[in-house]
Amino acid sequence: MDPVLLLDVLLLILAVLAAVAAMLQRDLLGSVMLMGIYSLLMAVIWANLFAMDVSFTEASVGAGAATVLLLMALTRIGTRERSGGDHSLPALVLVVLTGVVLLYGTSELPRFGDPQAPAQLHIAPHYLAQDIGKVSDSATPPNSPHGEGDFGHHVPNTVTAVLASYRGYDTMFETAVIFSAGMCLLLLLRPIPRRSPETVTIDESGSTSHQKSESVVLRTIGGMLIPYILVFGFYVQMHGEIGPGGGFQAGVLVAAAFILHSLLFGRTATDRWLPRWLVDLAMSLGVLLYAGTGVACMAMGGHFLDYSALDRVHPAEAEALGMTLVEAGVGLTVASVVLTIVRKVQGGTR
Amino acid sequence: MLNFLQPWANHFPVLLVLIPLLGGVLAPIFGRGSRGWAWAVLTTGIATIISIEMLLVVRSGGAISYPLGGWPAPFGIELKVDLLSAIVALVVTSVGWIVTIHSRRSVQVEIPADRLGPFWSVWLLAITGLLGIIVTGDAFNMYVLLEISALTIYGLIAMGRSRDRKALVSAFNYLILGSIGASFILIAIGLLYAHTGTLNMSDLHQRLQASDGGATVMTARAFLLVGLSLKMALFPLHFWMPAAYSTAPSAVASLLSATATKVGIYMAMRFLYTVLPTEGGVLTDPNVWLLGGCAGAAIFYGSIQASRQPSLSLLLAYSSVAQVGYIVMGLAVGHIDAMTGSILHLMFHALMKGGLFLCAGIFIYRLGSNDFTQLAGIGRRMPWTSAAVVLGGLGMIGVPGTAGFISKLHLLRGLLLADHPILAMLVLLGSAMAAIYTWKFVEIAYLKPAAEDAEEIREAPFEMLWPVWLLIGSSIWLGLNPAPVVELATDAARALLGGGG
Repeated sequence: MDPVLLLDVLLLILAVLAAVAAMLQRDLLGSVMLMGIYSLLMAVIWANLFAMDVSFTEASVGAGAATVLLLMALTRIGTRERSGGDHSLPALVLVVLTGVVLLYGTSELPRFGDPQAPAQLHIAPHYLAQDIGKVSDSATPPNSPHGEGDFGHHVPNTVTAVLASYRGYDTMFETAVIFSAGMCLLLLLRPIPRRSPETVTIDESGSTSHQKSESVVLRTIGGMLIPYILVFGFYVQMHGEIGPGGGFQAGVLVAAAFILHSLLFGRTATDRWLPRWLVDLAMSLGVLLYAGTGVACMAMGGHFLDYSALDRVHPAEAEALGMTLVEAGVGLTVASVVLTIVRKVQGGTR
Repeated sequence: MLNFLQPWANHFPVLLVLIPLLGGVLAPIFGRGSRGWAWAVLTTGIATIISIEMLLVVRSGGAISYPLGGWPAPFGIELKVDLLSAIVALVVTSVGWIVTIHSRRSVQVEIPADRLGPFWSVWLLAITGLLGIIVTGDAFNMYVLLEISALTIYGLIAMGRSRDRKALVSAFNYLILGSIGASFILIAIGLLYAHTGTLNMSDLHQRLQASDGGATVMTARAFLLVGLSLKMALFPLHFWMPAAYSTAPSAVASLLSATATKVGIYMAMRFLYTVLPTEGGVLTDPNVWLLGGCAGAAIFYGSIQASRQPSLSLLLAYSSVAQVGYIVMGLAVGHIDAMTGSILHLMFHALMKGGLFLCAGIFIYRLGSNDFTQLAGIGRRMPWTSAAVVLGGLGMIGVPGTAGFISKLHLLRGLLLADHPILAMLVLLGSAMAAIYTWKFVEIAYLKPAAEDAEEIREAPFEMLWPVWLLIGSSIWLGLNPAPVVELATDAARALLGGGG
């Protein structure tokens, strides 16, 4: 039997066990930890399937950011599940039935990795060959050099090409989803202003001193790590065209550096480096940069998000430039929204 | 066409989504404090103008296709606006605009002052998501925009908590159910992609029509039906809706009742007729029985429940359960007249129910709640608001002269011609029961004396009243002059049943 397949099966079984254990676990801290393990296992499975970008995202967002956010939420609501679980038999039957239908539905799907599968034959080959070519419109000069390939070897990572250009409109709205999540939190978690201002300040300074780490070892070693995390974040941001990575992962990494800083040195110290108004502004600016790039393409006579319109003489370079810009927008919004969520969950009342 | 819009005419489909998106993103910067409302009115106003122009373009020149990124379909994402999408887009933007104009005072009262910026931002993003669903021609893109509208709507409903703590529970319940619905839709799209290798809707339809389908497509259809039923609150998956609509801030309830479930129904029309394979343009019998049965049960159950509710908001919410039934019944049977009735009812119900929920909000603004115990004798103290409720209720019944009569007439004719007499009976029965719950309000508002110790209540200010009368009045006007709208809806129905894309 194929050893890789064996490993896949083993990992999948472990992932299912972790998910079931997370549901049955009564201690919420344990539950969160098990979900983190589940995400990590999934990241390995994705990597095993050669879906490196997905794996990277799952590791940084699923196992990393989501776990940290849930842990922070637990510090505010406690770790004990209040009521005992009430297991409803009809619900179980329904879930099992849905699972059976799903198994039935997947029974006729092509085998995994089948080169004759519709998903491999219809559109994907053109994504790989990058030979699609733009819709002709009056603004495009007739000898548009898209013949050498859509991106002219500027974008070797196909995943990034699909994400940021062929389906860039989807990615803009994924960024908008992140922005909406941040806005919903600002809407729901801002402290109710009825309390007198003095109590609020005492609360905030109190929580600040709690969050500051007193350990010299932690502060020294952790402090040394921060620049490296930031550099790695920027590397992932800029490197997305060539290798796995891009704005989503980079945003989480950059946010992680600042979260670490605030855990080690307290939130007031972090706010000195990165004022709150700047974080709030960056949330909007990221989506604005993405959409603004698209509007610029329209103003230059192309369709929305047709980056090649930015430079008609060198359309392939313009594609790469446009993708860099929108990825920067993604990174900006993701980093600032993660920071905002952390701030709200740490310090927001109610 | 307005002259200054001419250079942008090619870009209408994307602008319709882009304007509210930019409005929502910029609201935290430009729309702080009380300016947020003006910002939202401006944004939704521009979107309304664009959707009017877009409808005119589609009416004269046929469906518009917009290749995003300049990539041809099916490689890139295609926006596709046909008559049906143009109509639904106009309903969402115009009713959204009027509700926004109305809501300045009620939002001021119900939303804490320091959160007005985020509130209007989330409000505009919700409209963005709904409009994006309407104009897209790509199945996965529809899911992404569904995420935006769903996420923002959960947040908006939860803000009802300053009036009623139960809003948090109903928002959470809706979050769980909505997420289940969305994942079912995503699973279905994934199965369809694995089967065909494409995400573009017209491409999907062609390839599915050509293939023999089998287990994969059947399962995808099942998951889609369940997911979409949750989204459009079709009985028996409606139970999140009454709780959510009655506890949400009153402005949010009006917006959602007029737009959110309508967009869910629009998605069902799209997926059932222009994505999934059809049999000569109509659904197969088991689908008709399933959808028609659920729709009939929705009419019956929703109308009975509506007449038993203790407050106006709950009454209206259960009446919406029934109205979703009428619309789904019309889209299920696949007869041109029934489909026309369905599209007409989608438009008219948005006008009438939007207006009615605004009235419910006005009562909350003046009285603090709209429980029927509080509303005794309100007809004499708040004559304009109460009269609007009665007129809207007549529309719900389908009295001749109101818009509801026109849509139900087409629906009934379609049901009878398609040989579904039992469903037609249910439509008539539902209308009779709508008379019961409308009478309940008349009795309380006009025939009961006001409580002895009732404080002096004044009629609502003009700035809250005229949007209500604009909505209710236009539903009456359309009931008296139905010809142009009926023609529009008939053309849209014909395009849909032609399997057209």
